Amino acid sequence: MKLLVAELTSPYVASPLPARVFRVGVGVISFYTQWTLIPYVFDLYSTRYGIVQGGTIGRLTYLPTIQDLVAWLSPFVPERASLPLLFVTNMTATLAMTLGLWPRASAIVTWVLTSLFFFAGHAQAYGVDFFRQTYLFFLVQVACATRQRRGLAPLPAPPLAVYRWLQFFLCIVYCTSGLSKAFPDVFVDRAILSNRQWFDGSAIYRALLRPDLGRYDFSWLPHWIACTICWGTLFLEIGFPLFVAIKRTRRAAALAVCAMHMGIAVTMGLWTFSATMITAVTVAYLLPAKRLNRTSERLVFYDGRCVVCHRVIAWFSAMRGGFVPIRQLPSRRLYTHSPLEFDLHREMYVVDHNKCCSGAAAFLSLLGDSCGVPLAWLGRWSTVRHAYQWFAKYRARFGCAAACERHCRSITD
Amino acid sequence: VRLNLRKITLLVFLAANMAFVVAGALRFKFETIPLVGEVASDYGIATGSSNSFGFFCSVPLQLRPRFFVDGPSEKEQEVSLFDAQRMSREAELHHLGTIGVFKDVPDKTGRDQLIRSWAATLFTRFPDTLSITVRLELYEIPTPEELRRGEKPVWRVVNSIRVTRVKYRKETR
Repeated sequence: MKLLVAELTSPYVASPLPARVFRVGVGVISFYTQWTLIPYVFDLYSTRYGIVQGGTIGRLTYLPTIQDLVAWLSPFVPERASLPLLFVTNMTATLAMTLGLWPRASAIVTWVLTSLFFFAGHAQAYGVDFFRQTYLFFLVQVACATRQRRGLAPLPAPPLAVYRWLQFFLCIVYCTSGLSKAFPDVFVDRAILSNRQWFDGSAIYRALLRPDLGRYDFSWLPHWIACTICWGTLFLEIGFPLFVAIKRTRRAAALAVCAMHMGIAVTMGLWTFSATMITAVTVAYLLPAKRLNRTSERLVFYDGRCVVCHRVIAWFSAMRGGFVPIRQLPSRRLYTHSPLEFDLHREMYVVDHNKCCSGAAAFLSLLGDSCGVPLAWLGRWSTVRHAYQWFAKYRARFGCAAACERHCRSITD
Repeated sequence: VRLNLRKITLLVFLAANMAFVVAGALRFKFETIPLVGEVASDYGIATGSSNSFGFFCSVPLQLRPRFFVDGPSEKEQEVSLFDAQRMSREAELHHLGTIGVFKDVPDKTGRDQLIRSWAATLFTRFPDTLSITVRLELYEIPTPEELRRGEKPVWRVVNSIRVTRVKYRKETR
C-alpha cells in the first residue's frame, strides 16, 4: 500500500504530452461526430420531430436530458431554435477544449452538454458514445487536477495518478470484454446467449456478413482464419492486463490492440470508435507518461572554469534547478548527508531527489530533459562513457586561452 | 511520501470512481443499493463508469424494418425512415441505433409503441398516407459449415404489423 501511494504521489509528474494528445484526439473525434450529425439533430434528439418520439423509450437516468432543457426553455425559445443552439454550443465547447482554450471550463461544458444529448439519445448510442462519456469525464478530471493558467496557456501536466486511472480503466475494459466474449453465460445476464460464437469462429462471420456492419463481402473467408481471429481476440483481450503489466510485452500488446481496432475500422466501418480507443491506448501505454517535476530541486555540479562546460551549462541555464560551479564551493563535500562522496573535479554530476548520475549520463539526462526525450540511458554505453571520460580528462585543452594556463595545468595534473 | 489534502482528495476520488468502473464491468445493479441506489446509478451513467464492456460478446442478427405506405390512390410503396446512402457512416450508425433499440425493448407493449413511433414519423413525411405496413425482417447468417457448403445469408420475415392513421389498429399476419 505504501508503495502504491508512493507511486501515485511521487515527485515525478505525468508529462503534459499524453494529456494534450488525449485532449486533442478525443476533442477532434467528438467534434467530427457532432459535425456529421448536424443535419439530423431533430431526427435524433427531438421529442416532437424525432424518429423515435419522446416517451417511447424509457429514460436512461433521472438526470435531466437535452429534451428536458428544451422543454424548460420552450416558453422563451421554441424547440426549432433552442435544440440547434444547444447543439452548436456543444460543438463550440468541444472545439475550445480541443484547442486548449479555457481548458477546465470548456471540458466541463463539453462533458455536461454531451451528457445531456447522450441521455436524450441513448437509444441510438453505440460504443463510441459510452466511451466518449468516460473520456470526457476523464478530461474534466485532468483539467481539474491541474492548476490552470489564464488565457490561451495549455494545460500543465496532470498528476501521475490520473494516468494510472486511465491505464487501469483500459485493463478492465479489455479484460471484461474478452471474458464476456468467452463466457457470456457467466458475465452477461442473458440466458439466450450462446457461448460458442467466439470459439467456433461464427462471431466473425456474423459481424462481417451483417449488411449494416460489414463493409466488404467476407463470405469467402476460410473457417480457420475466422477461428484464428476469434481466438486471437480472446487471447489478447483477456491477457491484456498481464501483457501491459510486463514491461517487455507492454508496447507489443498496445500495438496489437491498436491493430485490432484498425481492423474493426476497416472491415466494419466503426472509424470513430476505433479512433477513440486507439487514442486512449496510445496515451496510456505508448507515450511516455513520466517526466521530472519542474518544481523539484535539482543541482548540477560542473567545472565553472572549463570553457566548454561553461558554454554548455549556459545553454541549459533556462532549465529548472540550480547550477553550481565547483570552484565556488566552500569545500569539496557540499552536503554531508548526500551521496556526494566523490571528486567533483573528475566529471559533471546531477543530483535530483537524492538520485545521482554523473559523467555522460548526467550530461545526457540534462540534454534529454531539455528536449523532452529520455536520453540518460545512452550514458550506460561504454563507448559514450569512455568518450565523455576522455573529454573530461582533457577538457582544459578545449577552448582555453593562454590566460588560464595555470588553471588548465591544475586540472590536468 | 508527502500527502496533502489535495492529493488525498484526488486519490480518494479516483479510487471511488475506479470502484464504480469495476462494479459496472461486473454488471452490478447500482439501483439495488438502498437509499443511494438511484444517485449511484445516475453518477455511473453520467461519468460513464457504470458501463459493462460486453460489446459483441454475442453478435446478434440484424433486424430490419421495412415500411410500405398505402396512399388514397397509389399502390403500396416502400419508403424508409432514413436514407443511409446519402449520409455519413457516423450518422448512419446513429440512425441504425434507433432501429437496433427494438431488440432491447423488453415487453410487447413497448415494442408496439416503438413501431407506432416509427410510423408516426412517416405519417408526417407522407401526409396522404392512410396506413403503413411495417414488416420486420431478420438477416439469418448460416453457420460456418453451411457457409462452406455454399449457403447464403437470407432475410426472413418475422412479423408484419399494419398501422392506420385515424385510429391505431394492428393486424398480425
